[in-house]
Amino acid sequence: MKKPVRIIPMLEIKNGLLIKGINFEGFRVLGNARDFAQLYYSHGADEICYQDSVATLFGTSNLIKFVSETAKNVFVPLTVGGGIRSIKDASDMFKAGADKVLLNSAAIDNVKLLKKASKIFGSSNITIIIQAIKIDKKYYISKSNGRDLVNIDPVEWAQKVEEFGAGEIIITAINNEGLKKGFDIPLTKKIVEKVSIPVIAHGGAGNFGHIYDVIKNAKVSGVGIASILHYEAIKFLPKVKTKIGNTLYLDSVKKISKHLNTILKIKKFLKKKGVIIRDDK
Amino acid sequence: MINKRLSAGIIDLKFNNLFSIYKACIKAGFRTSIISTKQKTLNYDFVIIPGVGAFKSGMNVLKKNKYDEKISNYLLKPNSFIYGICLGMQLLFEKSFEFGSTKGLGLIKGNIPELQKKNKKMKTNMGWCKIKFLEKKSKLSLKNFNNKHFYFVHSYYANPANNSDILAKTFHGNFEFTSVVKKNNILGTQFHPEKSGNLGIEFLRNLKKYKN
Repeated sequence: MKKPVRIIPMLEIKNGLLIKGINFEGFRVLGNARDFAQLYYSHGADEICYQDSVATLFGTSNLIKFVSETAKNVFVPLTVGGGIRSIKDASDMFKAGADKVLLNSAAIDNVKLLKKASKIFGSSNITIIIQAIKIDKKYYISKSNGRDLVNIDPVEWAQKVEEFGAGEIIITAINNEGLKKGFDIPLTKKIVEKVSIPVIAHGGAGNFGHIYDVIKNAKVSGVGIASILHYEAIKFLPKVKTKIGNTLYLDSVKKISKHLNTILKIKKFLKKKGVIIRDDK
Repeated sequence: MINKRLSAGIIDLKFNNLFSIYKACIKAGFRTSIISTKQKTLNYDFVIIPGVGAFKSGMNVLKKNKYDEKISNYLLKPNSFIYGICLGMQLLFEKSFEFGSTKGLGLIKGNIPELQKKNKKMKTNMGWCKIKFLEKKSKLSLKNFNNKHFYFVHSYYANPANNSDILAKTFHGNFEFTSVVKKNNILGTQFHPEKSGNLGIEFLRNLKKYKN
């Protein structure tokens, strides 16, 4: 029996604020991350993923606070990443309420940490996020959200992290991220074919058709979605009060009073196309 | 009728994420507390054994804090009820084959084998799966939950010796395993209600219906 394809809202956060960039550059503040997480949970998200884009540089203490605030009211698996560099960091994150931790930079710097973490916490609780960048037809992986390029092929890296105990892989195609033009299906497909662990596609969902295409063609276990959800949710979630970050975009959003459940709409669309999804009431 | 809030005590297995199950029990309306290891007797409407982690370390924590004795004594009381989740359910059985062989609490007859050794893709069951209650148990089945998805993450499964202890089953690929067990005042689910969305909270809220 096939499992439903997981629809996973991806929340890029900074100081507890949900931000959204394009190609990982030029971030906009969209609101309080936990408001979005709570909304997506109530809308039927199969899992929620938090990624702290600055924690790699400044540490995880802030992130821990926001994770435990979020976990209070979110009763689906919560995956958290950003700045996790040690077993202690991971352990703190689990204690705060994370169900899985995301590793990227730390695993690239020291793949043995991945092995150790998967032994201590169990493979299924360790997810590797691969940020793939394509330059002149050649693929690289990246650390710190695209700031540092590493000359490793994403497909080879996927196989290596599986060997070192990763329980799941999120593949982010940085070239496609935030552009809403569709996923990098060839790369995602290749990774799905080469590993036995679940693979989540992320980066590029611009419409429901894109989501269906990557599920159908790359046979992924889940899809990470950001823009499609955030830019709808922002229309009816309370406006955030913050002194930091670029909030110009927020001021331009026209508020509506009606709640739109985009996750349910996506699931209905996929179901019509024959994709197995979870829509229990 | 007095509508008294039921109490739930959660055993701390030290290495797991207690926070989620604690919050979920509160959300489900229980007077919830984490059981202190210093407590000599258990006085709750429900005692919950949560679980993420390895069987052996789970068992070590239980024994070290004399939970094996405390649980046996608790089960003698009228109106007691034990609910084991995931590893917590597996610990209720006689023995597990995770990393060799380890003795469990032995409250339900049967053992805990590995889901799948050969096929790497099937080694771990992670994600949302439907639970299917057995026909003849329909009275106990809480039909609202039949054929609904719950969240699973495990590489070992419960293999009860007596079919009469099996309440519901679930498919992992083509392999069907026991996902809900019940024996008298002992209930176990392989899935995590605290991670199964609104339906999971609803399941916790309905625990009292299993108590009879």
